[in-house]
Amino acid sequence: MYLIDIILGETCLSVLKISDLHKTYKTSFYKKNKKVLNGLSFSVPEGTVTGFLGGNGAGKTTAIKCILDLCIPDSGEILFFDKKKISLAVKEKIGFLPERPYFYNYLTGLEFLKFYGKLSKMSNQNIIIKSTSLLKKLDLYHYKDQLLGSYSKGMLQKIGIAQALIHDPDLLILDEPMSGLDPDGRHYISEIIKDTAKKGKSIFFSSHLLDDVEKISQNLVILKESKLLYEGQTEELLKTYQSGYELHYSLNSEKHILKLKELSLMQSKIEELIKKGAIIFEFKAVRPSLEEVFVNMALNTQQTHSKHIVNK
Amino acid sequence: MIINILALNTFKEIMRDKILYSLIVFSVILMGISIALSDLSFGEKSRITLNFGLTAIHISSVILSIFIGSSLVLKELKNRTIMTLLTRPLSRSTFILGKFVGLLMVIISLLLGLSLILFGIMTVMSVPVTMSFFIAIYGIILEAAVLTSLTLFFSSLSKVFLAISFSIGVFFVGHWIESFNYFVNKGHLAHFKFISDNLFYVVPNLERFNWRSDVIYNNLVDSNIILSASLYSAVLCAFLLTLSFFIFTKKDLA
Ligand SMILES: Nc1ncnc2c1ncn2[C@@H]1O[C@H](COP(=O)(O)OP(=O)(O)O)[C@@H](O)[C@H]1O
Ligand SMILES: [Mg+2]
Repeated sequence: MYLIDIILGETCLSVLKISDLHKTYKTSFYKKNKKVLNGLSFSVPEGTVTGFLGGNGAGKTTAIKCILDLCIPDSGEILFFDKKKISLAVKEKIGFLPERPYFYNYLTGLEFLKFYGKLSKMSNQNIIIKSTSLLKKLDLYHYKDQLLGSYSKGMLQKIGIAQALIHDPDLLILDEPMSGLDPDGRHYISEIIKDTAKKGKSIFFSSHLLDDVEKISQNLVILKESKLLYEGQTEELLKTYQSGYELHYSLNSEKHILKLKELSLMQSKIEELIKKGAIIFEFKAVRPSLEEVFVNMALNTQQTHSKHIVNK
Repeated sequence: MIINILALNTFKEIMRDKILYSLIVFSVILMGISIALSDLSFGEKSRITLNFGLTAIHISSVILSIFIGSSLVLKELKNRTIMTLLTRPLSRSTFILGKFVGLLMVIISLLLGLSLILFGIMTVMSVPVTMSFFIAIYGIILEAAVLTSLTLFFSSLSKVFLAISFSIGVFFVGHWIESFNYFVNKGHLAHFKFISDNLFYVVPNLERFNWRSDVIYNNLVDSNIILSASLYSAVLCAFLLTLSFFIFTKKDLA
């Protein structure tokens, strides 16, 4: 898949490359088998944040499980870093936070991080340094000696992030890291993702909300009904499916909202309003929801709108 | 190295489980009863104490292997804790092996603890402690290893409840094979000859690890018998664990 290279206008390595992945769940004797992934291909460029979008049940978690060798795919190829299959050496360089994480309730927060640090072959000293700094950064230091069984959902999410980061992985895979968190928690997670990206690490994270993803990820992989719908830059997608612009102003101490699709039209409107003495207090681009993107894409697919929209 | 870390964590997991403490209480009560009973029967004191004591220890180790062994792996699947564990640099077979070794460590610690208690009781009652006592405990450990790998194997195939049921079934049949064969060979049940000849291939003969009556009659078990039983246990464990690795490696986790 060289699409990413074309889009970014330069050759870049991928830390993860998936080709033609198929996965069927065998349910029971009497029910039909369920095809969850149907020839999925995409790649995650090195050193970027890539959002993995799709509605509930689109197959994101299944794809992630196949990537991490937790599920056995029917067919397809999954390559990490320099075209390597998953192995113990590859796993050393991956950090993973599962969906709705739940951890050993018989361990304390600190014991848990130590256990995972040791499994990742870190030295004892290094484990202490890293876990202390992570626990402090995540506001969990105070609870480090409490059993994980007593942690709240948000705290489990945070300690989950800590275990994913403790060994300083090159590729961080997060499954719905923001779902079920309050706005503060979401903000927190985005900050951590941005921080990790600044260190040159690659991040691949899933979400069912475009809102969560668009601000922090350069790239998007969008899944719909077990197929790839879009792979490419976030900016590109938003530009294409921008629902328009919104202007909040007051004229004669009355508040108004103006919605327009064209930026040039909006600009001339603004000039006009300012001349009339209107006060402008907010101007923003309206981001489409994932649903809107889906609808628009469905309308556009017949015209093969742009070269990086793949629809098999 | 990784095995150690996993086994130690499994050890910690079981040590922090309430089941273990109920089991210890149960065994100690059983030993207490043995003392009470032995007071009633003259001359048979040492026999009854030893009999009850060793039975209590044997049952505790069997319960621990089957009841804890059946949920060790499946609990990780159910709680989805396995997802982060297996993305660490370790293979699925290492994971199973870590569970096996960890549970065996708990069983051995429990057996040592309970033996020490029985030891104390025997000393107080001035029943002599002989070498055959330790051999009997060793036999219980060999059996526990087989039962643990058997239960891990069943749990890689099915649900907790089924794994427990199958293991208990094999436990009873495994202890009964020898007497069954004895009767068949005596000619009492001649038409079962085909079954009795082949049952050994399907169900392990757990009576090979039973040296408890030798303690009571103060026989010293022949070292060749101990050696061949140890080998039998090792081969069975290796076989059952390999089968479990094989099944578990092809499984979708959660
Ligand atoms: N273990 C399973 N057995 C059968 N079907 C499953 C299993 N796990 C997921 N599915 C089905 O596969 C589809 C995709 O699920 P999932 O990968 O969890 O989607 P997402 O993470 O995008 O919400 C869903 O319809 C779900 O019901
Ligand atoms: Mg999901």
